[in-house]
Amino acid sequence: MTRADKAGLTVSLLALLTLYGYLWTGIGPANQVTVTAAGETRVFSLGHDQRIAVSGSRGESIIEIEQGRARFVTSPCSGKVCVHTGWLARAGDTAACVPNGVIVSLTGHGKQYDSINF
Amino acid sequence: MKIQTTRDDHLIAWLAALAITIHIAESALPSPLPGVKPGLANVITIIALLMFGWRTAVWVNLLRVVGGSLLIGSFLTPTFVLSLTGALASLIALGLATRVPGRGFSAIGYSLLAAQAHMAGQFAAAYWLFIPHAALLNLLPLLMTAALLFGLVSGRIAGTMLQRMTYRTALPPL
Repeated sequence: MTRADKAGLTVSLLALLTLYGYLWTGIGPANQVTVTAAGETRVFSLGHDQRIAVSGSRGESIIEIEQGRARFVTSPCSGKVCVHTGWLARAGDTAACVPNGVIVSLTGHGKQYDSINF
Repeated sequence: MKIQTTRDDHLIAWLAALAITIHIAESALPSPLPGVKPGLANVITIIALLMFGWRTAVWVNLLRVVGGSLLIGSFLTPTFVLSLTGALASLIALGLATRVPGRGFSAIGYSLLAAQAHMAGQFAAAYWLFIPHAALLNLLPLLMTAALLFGLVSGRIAGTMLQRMTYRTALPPL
C-alpha cells in the first residue's frame, strides 16, 4: 500500500464512522407510523390496531398496524419487497414500495435526527 | 462500408467484454440489500486504469454499463440510471485520484475510491430521483460499509492480477 492508499483508507474509515454517528443514533422504541404516498405524509399512532388503505401511483397499498408494529399487507407491485420487509417495530425502521411510491416508517418521540449532512 | 478499427478499439472491446461478463455473472447473485453487490467488474476498470490510463478506463466502464444493461434487459430503467450515475461518479473520482502527486495510489487505493464513489453517486441518484425520503438515509451507513469492504476486496484482486501479468511487453500505454 502506498501512502496515498493508507490516507484514502483512513479518510474512508473516519467518514464511515461519522456516517454511523449521524444517521444511526437516536433509534429507540417507536410510537408513530409515518406514511408517505404521492408526496402526501400522514401520521398514525401505533397505539390502536387498524388497517390503512393508501393510494399510490399504481393503486392501493394496505398497511396494517398491530401491537405497536406496522407492515405492508399488500401492494400493487411486482417485487413485493415492501411486503417481504415484514413487521416494522423500532423507530427508524422503514419499508417502501418504490413502484407505488409508498413509504412507511416508524418514528419515536421528537425528531429522529439533529441534522442531516451530505 | 468497412469500419476501420484500431488496436486501441480492440483493446477496449476486449476489456469491456470481460467487464460485461463479470457484470452479468454477478447480476445472477442474490443480494442481501438492494444496491449491495460485490462489483467485481470494478477489477477490470482498475486494471484498465493502471495499464492503459484513465481514458481507457472510462471507455471500458461506460461500455460495461451500457452493454451489460442491454444484455440483462435493464437499459434505461431506474437500475440503469443508478448504475450509470455510480459509474460516472467512480470515473470522476479515479480521474481526480490519478492527479495525486508522488507515488499516488495503487490498485487497492483506486479500487476503494471507485467503490465508494460508485455507491455514493448511486445513492445520491436514488435519493434525488426516486425516493426523496429521509428514511433512505438509514441505509447509507450499511451501503457505504459494503462499498468499503468490496472496494478493498476487488482492489486486492486487481493488485494481484497486475503483479502476475507481464503487461509491459504486451502493449505500450495509449
